[in-house]
Amino acid sequence: MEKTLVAKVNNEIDVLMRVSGIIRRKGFDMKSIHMEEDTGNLANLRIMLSYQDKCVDQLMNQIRKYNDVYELRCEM
Amino acid sequence: MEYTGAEIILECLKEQGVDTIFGYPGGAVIPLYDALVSYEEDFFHVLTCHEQGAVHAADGFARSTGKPGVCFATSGPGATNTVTGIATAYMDSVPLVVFTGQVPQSLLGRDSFQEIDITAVTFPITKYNYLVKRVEDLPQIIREAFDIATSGRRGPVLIDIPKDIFTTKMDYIMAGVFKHEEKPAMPDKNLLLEAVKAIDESVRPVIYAGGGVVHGDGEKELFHLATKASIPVANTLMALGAFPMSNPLSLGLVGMHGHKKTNLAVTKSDLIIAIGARFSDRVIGSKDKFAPKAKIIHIDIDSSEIGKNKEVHFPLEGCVKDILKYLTEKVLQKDSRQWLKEIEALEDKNPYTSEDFTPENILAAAQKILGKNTIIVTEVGQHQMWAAQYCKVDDPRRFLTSGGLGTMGYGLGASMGAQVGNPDKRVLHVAGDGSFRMNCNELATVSKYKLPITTLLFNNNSLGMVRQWQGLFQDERYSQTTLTDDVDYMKLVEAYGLKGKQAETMEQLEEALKAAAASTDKATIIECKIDKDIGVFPIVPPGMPIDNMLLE
Repeated sequence: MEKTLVAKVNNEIDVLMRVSGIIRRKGFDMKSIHMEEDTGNLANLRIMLSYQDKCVDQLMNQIRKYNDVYELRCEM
Repeated sequence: MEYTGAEIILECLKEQGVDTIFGYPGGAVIPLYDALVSYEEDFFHVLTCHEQGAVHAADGFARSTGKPGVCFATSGPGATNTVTGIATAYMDSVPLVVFTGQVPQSLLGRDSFQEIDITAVTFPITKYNYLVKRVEDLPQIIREAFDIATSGRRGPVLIDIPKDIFTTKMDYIMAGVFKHEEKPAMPDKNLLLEAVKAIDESVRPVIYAGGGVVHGDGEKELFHLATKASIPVANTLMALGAFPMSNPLSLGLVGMHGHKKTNLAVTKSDLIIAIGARFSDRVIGSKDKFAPKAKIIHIDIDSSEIGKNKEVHFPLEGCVKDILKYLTEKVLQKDSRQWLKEIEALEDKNPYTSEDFTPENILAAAQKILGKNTIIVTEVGQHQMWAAQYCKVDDPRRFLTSGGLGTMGYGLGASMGAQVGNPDKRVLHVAGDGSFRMNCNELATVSKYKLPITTLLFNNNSLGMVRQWQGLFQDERYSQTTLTDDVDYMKLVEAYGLKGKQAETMEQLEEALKAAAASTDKATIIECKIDKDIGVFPIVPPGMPIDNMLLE
């Protein structure tokens, strides 16, 4: 099943690089990535991961550590 | 009051209690170094020979003092030269704040002279990084950077500052140290009580202590838990000194070069209490065969470490110190004499004690003559593992080594930082000839600042560890691991105005060490010529279970 990571992040390109970088390093493939300005200095980031037989919990724990990621959830 | 960006940086550093900076000037940081002239009384700036040396020195300062290390470098090559040092600190969770200069904002993105996108380069090896775009943001960024570097799981933070920001003026108000007071929540109480029950019921428990014990200042709590419940303590390379090695419960190093009894005890164990450790491949070998009969309690402040490399039965995420305190209060006082006796019987008894010129005896003599309070700093390779196996370290922050990244060339820079941060202590730099050659340019810094470091240079004219692997696992096809004897280290050392001694016997060594111990303002490099075929044993072939050791 495909999984989509949905995050509230700082509205800066750096956070996009950080998050996509760790996804790459943990060996996940992306189907799509979308970042859109939200209110204030925040943005909504949606990343659809290709189907993989891998647990995303580790990846999410890693992403949550970034200072510019405020909320993160996984949608099936 | 109005300050320039450069002055604001220095004011903010004062605010953070920083008094020592390691660095190297260059075009993009000229305004920062210009401002530094007016702050001479506030900061001791150590000018290294290379930015890599500066970062390693800041790292050694941080590991040995527990304070964050601070480093300045210029843009372009200055910034890229910091990369290995930053990655070293990242892998070992060392708090650093690295300031790099950048080309002025008007030149950014134009492939300008000495322009490099250092924030992009360091995304994967920093805990966080910043490119400053407005001088108004500087104070907040610096305060945040120190907070990030020193809170939770420690790590390096990089701040990249365009040259025009250094010279732009703004009103600055001193704000004091910004530190978020939020303590990590304690794990679920039921889970904690289950862990207590597991400890109480265990017959063969082993504590597997990692660097997180030291970073989280949890040594006392570890000691109390281990001694109350009578649990033997194995430690990783990063945790040498987290538990006194002179204590009968200490099992010493575990893993690829762990002691025989330690690796076997872990394998026989029915409960592993992993504390601030990350189940690195160098420790666990084959992950399914690491402690195969044991339940695992994993205590760590970093949620992303729990379950990353090994399945865990009791995941206890939170502050190591607080969790250990809780467990210690709840566990039953026990006596595991039987288990300890069983472990003791696992070690081969060698009644023959040699007085030969061996790594074990060399290191023992150095510790004896330089004193117990000595900070040991290693490079990376065979000598590093000998030091980890044979040095008796009873206190935290007394054994500095590049554990995660395995950075050859780390040791001399880190020794400088450790000596600058601890002028009242002796620093023993343990090196191999391969590692020493990598950054020995820093001998000029050692000489300039009169740092009385003692270097033990194990010279086997080869890249010993790689050669050992080639011998054991590549059918003795030795490829490019012979260094020959074309460097006269005594002349090299003399050229830097330092003292060099050669030793080929224990008597010569002891004499050289006594002279080094008497020196208070000059480093001594003692070259110990050893045979290239002396190996590090035990060794577990990579990927194999840790009870599968080659003993010779």
